[in-house]
Amino acid sequence: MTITNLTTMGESEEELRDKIRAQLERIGENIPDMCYQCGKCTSGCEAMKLLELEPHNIMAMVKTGFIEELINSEIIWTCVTCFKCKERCPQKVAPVEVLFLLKNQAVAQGKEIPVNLSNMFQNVLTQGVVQMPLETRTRAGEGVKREDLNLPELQLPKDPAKFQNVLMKLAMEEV
Amino acid sequence: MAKYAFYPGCIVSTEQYGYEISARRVLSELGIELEELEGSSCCGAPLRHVNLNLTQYLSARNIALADEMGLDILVLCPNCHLALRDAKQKMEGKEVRSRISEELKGEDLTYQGNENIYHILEIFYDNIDEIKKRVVKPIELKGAAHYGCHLLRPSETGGVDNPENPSKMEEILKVIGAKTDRYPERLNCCGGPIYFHKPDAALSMAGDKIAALQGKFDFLATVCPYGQRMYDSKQEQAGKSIGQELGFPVFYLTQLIGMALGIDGKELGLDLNLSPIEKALSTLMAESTVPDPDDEPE
Ligand code: SF4
Ligand code: SF4
Repeated sequence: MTITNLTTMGESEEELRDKIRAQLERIGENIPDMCYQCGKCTSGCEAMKLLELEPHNIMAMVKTGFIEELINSEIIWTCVTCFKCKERCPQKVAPVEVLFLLKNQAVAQGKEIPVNLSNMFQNVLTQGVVQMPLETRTRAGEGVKREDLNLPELQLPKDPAKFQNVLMKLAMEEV
Repeated sequence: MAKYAFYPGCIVSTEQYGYEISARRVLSELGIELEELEGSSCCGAPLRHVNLNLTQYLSARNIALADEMGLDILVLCPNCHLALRDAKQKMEGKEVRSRISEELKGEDLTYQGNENIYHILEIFYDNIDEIKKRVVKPIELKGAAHYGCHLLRPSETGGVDNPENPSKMEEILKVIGAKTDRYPERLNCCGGPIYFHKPDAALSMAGDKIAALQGKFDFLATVCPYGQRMYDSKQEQAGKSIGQELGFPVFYLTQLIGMALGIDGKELGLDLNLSPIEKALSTLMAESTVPDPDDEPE
């Protein structure tokens, strides 16, 4: 099933559309209205072959206002962020950036998001990095920790409380 | 002597240790001095999916820390490189600048944005003559290059080379004695950014590229911890996902330069590569520095 099948019942949500537009303008990106559906983005999309992501389709939907459907769909989480669509679009539209904003919107609405992303988010909030140093292994199968390798200590924010305060505040705010 | 604030990034410094060890060792060999970017955090790139404010803030705070040191930033990860450069570009906008500067006060930081952000590939390329002069053990093999998406695109922000036809890695490979060639899958994504929530698709993407290289090249060189994670650390699983036996040597470019400069394999973290690099190494290095292939599990 493609995204379009999911949306035939959808209604245009002008408010959400305007919000995404305003956010795009704020981050310096063209709005999807500039897209003339040439399909160049989709033809080179790294997530198209295996995961059926069609960025030109996403642009058409955002333009028309089928935002809620996209936010509820798993499809927005398939983008590998290769940035080919942004690089190649003849209209200087950036599907990858629109997808970031759709995902941000999904998070803001409390939708379920891939668990590894919420874990990373938690880790950065609480400790400043996506994960604490892992034990890896050598080809010979021996366990290796960061401290075994004579590397300097991992850098972390000096004042975790202040760091967390700022991040918590920003996380609550819309883009 | 050139000196930089060193920013390995989360994935390198918590998991891809071979990159950090070899980068530090080779840079010092080239007379490039590093200082730790004290108090640094995640660049925020992985949080773009969650909230772009956080990415902007996290990158800006790391740049502000480099401002305090008065040093340009040297980055290992293409994803960090793009996030930092993008944040710097956005800080040129009045609205973003004043909003983020206000928040930075919460950590007693001031953003100036005076310093440049360089990826290690740029540093190597700028020092290509110096590298050439110092080669003592040429890498006499045929190598393929993987740049990493975020090092090339979007070219207007993070790009360090031609976005559709880059050549800096190939030029460096030639200088250290290797043969190289372009190949059709060269700009394909490794699948890394979706590995944890779409593992099958990500592994197939990685596996397809390795399968295409096997038999045509002797090794793959990367400058991206996501790419290395997929092509090297997860090569076995990638093979399973495409139903093919894969056994292809994958190195960080830093490790290859290090070997060419005559640095011992141990000091380059070569025992941390999980792909069968012995295949390439046996012709290159004295046996004493190569971990015994018989020690391999299975
Ligand atoms: S490449 Fe640009 S103009 Fe063409 S379909 Fe994609 S977003 Fe629209
Ligand atoms: S950035 Fe995402 S949407 Fe754009 S081409 Fe790459 S995978 Fe497709």
